[in-house]
Amino acid sequence: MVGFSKLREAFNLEYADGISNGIPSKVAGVANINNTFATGKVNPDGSFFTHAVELNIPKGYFTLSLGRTNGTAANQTARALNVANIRTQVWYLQNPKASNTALDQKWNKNIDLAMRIIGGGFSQNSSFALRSLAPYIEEFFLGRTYQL
Amino acid sequence: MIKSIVFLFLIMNNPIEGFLGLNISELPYPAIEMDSEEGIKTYVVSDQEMVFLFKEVSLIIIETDNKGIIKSISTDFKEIIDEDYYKDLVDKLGKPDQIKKMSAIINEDSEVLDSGNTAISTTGYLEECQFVDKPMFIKWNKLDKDIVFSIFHDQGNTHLTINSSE
Repeated sequence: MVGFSKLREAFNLEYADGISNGIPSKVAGVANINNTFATGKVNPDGSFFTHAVELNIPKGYFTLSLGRTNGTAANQTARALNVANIRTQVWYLQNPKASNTALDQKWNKNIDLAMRIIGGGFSQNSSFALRSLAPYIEEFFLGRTYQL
Repeated sequence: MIKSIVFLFLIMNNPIEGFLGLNISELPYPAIEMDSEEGIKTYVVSDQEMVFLFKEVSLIIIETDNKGIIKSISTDFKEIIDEDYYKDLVDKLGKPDQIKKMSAIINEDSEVLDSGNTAISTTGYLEECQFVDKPMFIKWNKLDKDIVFSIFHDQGNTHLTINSSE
């Protein structure tokens, strides 16, 4: 059983040797992975507004290939989360019409992608339904039309 | 000594904003491909001594078009940019085209998403402000570049995106 660490203490993230999908790996679980993303929008009447979303993943499981120390694995995971957070924030600026669900999906996917480039992965239990969108608005920061 | 000279060279010659428009193969640092989606490729450059207007950064995220041309560069500073740095930006870039803070909250909501994750969202009006008013967003549009700072005061973090606006 892998213990859970808090994200804010990612450098103390406790990796352990375990089995992931039948493969010996470094494994760790993190409780309450949390980050806030914000985007800017402009209404048809010209007024500006923002939508800021604090997302929280109650439980996330990280895996990494063997051949590194637990400390290195923790540092690399912290950096992967940083990569995912940066990439998700720029995506949200580019896609301000995205629903909270779409933002959540993107963030989860980015965490997994950031882990994959260092020989690991990220998973949690999730489904990918999208909720309805808000009425038409135009983006003003890094406009790119986002179609769901 | 040599390392310092090299770093000084990079500061003077390889600011990250200068990467826009380059082909990814021309980047002076190793870039790891992270993703490819609808013709846009995303790369990560990490553990390098890079700069954005005199501020050191060690990690950037790059997006290229389907020809490998760099269209977007993003990073974060792990701190709130201070007024001295803002003044440096104004000296270099001029007054921002937009500097905005949240003026009034329109709606606050909390929901459990289908994934089981939670989202606490705040929607609010934005209004022009001064730097001392703790802006959420600062944007310059200069020389076909959008330079956007997103400032997360509660998290103590500043996100930067430099985007080709061509």
